[in-house]
This record gives sequence, C-alpha cells and structure tokens, in this order.
Amino acid sequence: MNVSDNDIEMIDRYLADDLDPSEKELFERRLSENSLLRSHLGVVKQAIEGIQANADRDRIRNLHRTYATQETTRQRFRYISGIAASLLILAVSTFLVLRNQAHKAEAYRAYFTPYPSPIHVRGATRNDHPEAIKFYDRQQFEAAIQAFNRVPVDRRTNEMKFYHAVSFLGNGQPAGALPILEELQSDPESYAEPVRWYLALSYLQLDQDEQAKTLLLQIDQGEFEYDRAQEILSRLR
Amino acid sequence: MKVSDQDLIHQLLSNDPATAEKAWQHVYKRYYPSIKALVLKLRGADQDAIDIFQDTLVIFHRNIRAGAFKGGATLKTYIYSIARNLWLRQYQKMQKNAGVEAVAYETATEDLDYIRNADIVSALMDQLKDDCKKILIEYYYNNRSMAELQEIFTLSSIQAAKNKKWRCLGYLVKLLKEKTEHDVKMLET
Repeated sequence: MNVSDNDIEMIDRYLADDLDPSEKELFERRLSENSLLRSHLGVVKQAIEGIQANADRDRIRNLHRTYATQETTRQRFRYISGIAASLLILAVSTFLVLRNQAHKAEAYRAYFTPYPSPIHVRGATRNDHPEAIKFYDRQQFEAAIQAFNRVPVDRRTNEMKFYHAVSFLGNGQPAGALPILEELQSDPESYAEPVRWYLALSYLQLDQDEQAKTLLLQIDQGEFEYDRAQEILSRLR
Repeated sequence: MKVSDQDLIHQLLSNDPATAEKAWQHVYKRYYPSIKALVLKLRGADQDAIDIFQDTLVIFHRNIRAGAFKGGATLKTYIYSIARNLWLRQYQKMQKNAGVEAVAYETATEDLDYIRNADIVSALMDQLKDDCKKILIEYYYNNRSMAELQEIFTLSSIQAAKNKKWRCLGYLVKLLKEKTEHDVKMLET
C-alpha cells in the first residue's frame, strides 16, 4: 500500500508539532492501532533526516572547497613570497657587497700617488721620451694608456711597462695594472720596490687582501712607501 | 575573540542563515585540522580525512538538533570522539577486508545508520526535480517559513506552498519505501 498524500500531510504536521490537540489525539490513536501508519511515520522521519544530512554534507563540502582553495592560494602566495624574499635578500646582499667593495676600492685608491715621471727623475727633456711618457708626465693617464697600447709588444721596455701599469692605476683600472705588475715582479732588477707597492694597491682594490698583505709585509723600513704600507697593514689587522 | 561552545551551538542552530553559515565556518576552521591530523595519524589519506570530517559534522549537527550534546565534554572532545569512532570503524572494516583481525571499538551503530540513510536518500533525491529538492532543503534544513517558500517559489498562496512541499516529500517517501522494500526482498532471496 502506498503512502497517501493525506497521511504524509498528517505525519509531517505531527512531526512539526503542528496539529491541534484534538487532531493530535486522534492521530496518535490511529498510530497505536495502525502498524502501517507507524511504518510510514518511520519512513517520513528517515526521509527528513536524509534531507538534513545531505544538506549538511553539501554545506561542509562547500566549506572545504572554499578553504582548500584559500589554502592553495595562501601556499602559492607563501611560495612566491619566499622566492621574492630570497631574490630581494640576494639583491640587497649583492648590492651591499658591491657597495662595500666599491667603498673599499675607493678608500685604497686614495693611497695612490703617481710614481715620479722619468722625465723628472732623470732630468731629461720631454723630447727624449716616448709620447706615452709625456702624457703620463701630465697625468693624462687615459691618453697615456692608449699611447702605451699603441707601442708594439716586443718594443715595450720594462720602464714603459711600469708606467703603463701605473697609468692604469691612476686611471682607476687596477685590473689593467695587475698582470703587468705581476710580470714585472718576476724581474727583481726593475722597479722592485715601487712594483711591490703598486701591485699591493692593485690587489687591495680588487679585494685580494691576503696577496696585498704579503707584499706590504715585504716593504722594509726606508723603502718606497714604507709608512703608508704600515698604515694599511694596521688597517687590515 | 574566542566563542564559547554554548554560543557556537546556539549560532549553529540559528534560524538566521548568515549566523549559521558563519558558525559553520568557525567549526570548520577550528576542528578540521585536528580531525585531519587524527585520520592521517591512524593511517588514513587526505580524502579519508575530508570524508570523515564531513560525516562527523553531519552526526554532530543531528545530535545538537536533538539536544543530545549535554556539554559534559568540550565540543572539541565531542567532535573528536565522533570522528575517531567513525574512522576506526571504517579502518576496521578495511582491515577485515584485507584479512586482518579487527580490534573492537566502541560502536556507534546509530550514527552509522544515520550516515547510511543519508547515502540512500542522497541517491533518491537525485531522482527528484530540482525545485522539489530545493523546497525540501529550504524547509527542512534552512527552516524557511511557508510564507518564505511561497515567495521563493512564486506560488499563489501559503496553502499552495504547503501542498507543493507535501507532494515533494510524498514522492521522496514513496521512493524510499520502494527502495527499502526492494532491499528487504533482496535480503530474503
């Protein structure tokens, strides 16, 4: 036997406590006498509970979807923020290191004074010297470098090489000076003392403090730039 | 600000949909992490945690509607114990299927029946027309009044709203009865 519309209405109103006292009394009497109606009551209850449980499930599923999406977005944001923060730290660190190096190079550049020009050292006239030395004498270091560069390699004397290197330092290019001075260092007869000093200055400006220190310690009292070498050594310590 | 357990229950049972929704969000945020941790600790997967939490809250809601939560324990302990029982029963079933001897746990037959019934009704509700499904949810879950149903479904009168609701409920009950009778016959054969 199917559940009639009228039964459903009565059961629903009974469950909602919507029957007036006389209707309720009559309905409960019918319930006590009619097992089929009792069975219908159980099924209606089951249906209503099922509706509520499934609506709960939908609600919780939606909540989960919302928060899972938010969590994924948060995780992505955290991941991207992490990368951005790392890049920022790297950029700032690099900037600080470079700035520190630049400051350091700048500080050591202040120790540079050009080695006296051979024109004055030997009391000769300008005309006895190559063009590059003339530029050096006028402290036009960039022009001097260009002029030294034009001299064929096999015709460059140690004197020219030395002034070429000092021109590089004077022009703020320690990397240009370094290989020339290292080459001259192997010849103890040529400008040994000033080569040690200018080579140390090149190392310092290129952030190679240990090599510089070794050279500065070799500058003995009375030698070229001894006092300044000591000053730098105490600063390095 | 921390909401007390009693306030939270009061809000969950509120007839105001916005208040209830906010309270459910609160429940989700406050309890899902610990239930997930529990299920994962007891060899469950992420999906198990989601399913168990969902059914836990279904049972929890049924219990607070029925006034079965008396406040003897905190809500956290109460929800946790429902979830634990549900998961251990499911896990026990899985172990049984895998041929491993099961360990006895405190049973929650009533809870399991409720969940099983929800599964059955869910499948049957899919056979209802959308507006039928909606009117039943709006009335039995969202506690809409007949006047509100009349407005939502643009019906001519409150009586028309009542009739529509009873027709839809009657159809669902008929399907449920047929399904139950069919299952009983299957068991007998």
